[in-house]
Amino acid sequence: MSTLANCVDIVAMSDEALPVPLLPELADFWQSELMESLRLTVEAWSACVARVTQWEQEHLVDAPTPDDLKAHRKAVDRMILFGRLVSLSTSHKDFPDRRLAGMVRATLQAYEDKLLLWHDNTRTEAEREALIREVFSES
Amino acid sequence: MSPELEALLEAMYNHQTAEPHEQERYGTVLERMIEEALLRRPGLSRRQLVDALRPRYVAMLRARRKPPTLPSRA
Repeated sequence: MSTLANCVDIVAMSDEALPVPLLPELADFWQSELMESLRLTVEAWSACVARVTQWEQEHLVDAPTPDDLKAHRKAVDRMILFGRLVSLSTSHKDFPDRRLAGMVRATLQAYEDKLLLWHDNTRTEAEREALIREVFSES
Repeated sequence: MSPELEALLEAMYNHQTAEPHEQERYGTVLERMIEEALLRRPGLSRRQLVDALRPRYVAMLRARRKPPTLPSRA
C-alpha cells in the first residue's frame, strides 16, 4: 500500500472531506493546509506570552504562593516544550515561512526568559542586585 | 536607575507583553540590548544577566499592574 493511498484514505475518513487534488498539485495542497494550521496554532501559542505575563502580574509579584509558582512553572515548561518541538520544523533551512519561523524563535525565547525571571534560584536577591549595580554602574 | 538599565527593562517588558506579530521585532530589540549589557562585564552570560534582572523586573511589573476592572461592592 502506498503512502499516497494512505494519505487519501485518511482524508476520505475525516468528518469533513477535503477536496484533495491529484498530482502535480497534491504536495502544494498539503503544504498549504499544514502551514495554515501551523500558523493558527503558533499564533495562539505566541499570544499566550502576554496572557501569562498578565497572570504573573496578578499572582507572582507580591509574595507568590508555592502553588502559584508550581502552576506557573508547569505551564511555562509545557509552552517551552511545544515551542521546541515546533522549532524543529521552523528552524529547518527549507521551512517556507520565515516570518512564522521568526515568531516561533522569539516566542520561545520569551517563554525561556520566564523561567529565568521567576524560577532560577541560584542567586539571592542581594546578589542579583549587586550584579545589576555593577553592570550598570549604579552607586 | 541608569538609562541603559531602564531601557533594557522596558525591552524585556515589551517582549513579555508582545502580540504574536510583534514578538520577533521586540525580541530582536531585547537581544541587542542584552548583548550591549554583556559587553559591560566580560564573562557574564545572558542567563546570569536575565536572572539578575529579576528584582527590578518584578518591581516594574508591580508598578505597571493594571487596576481591577470589576467595580468595588457598595
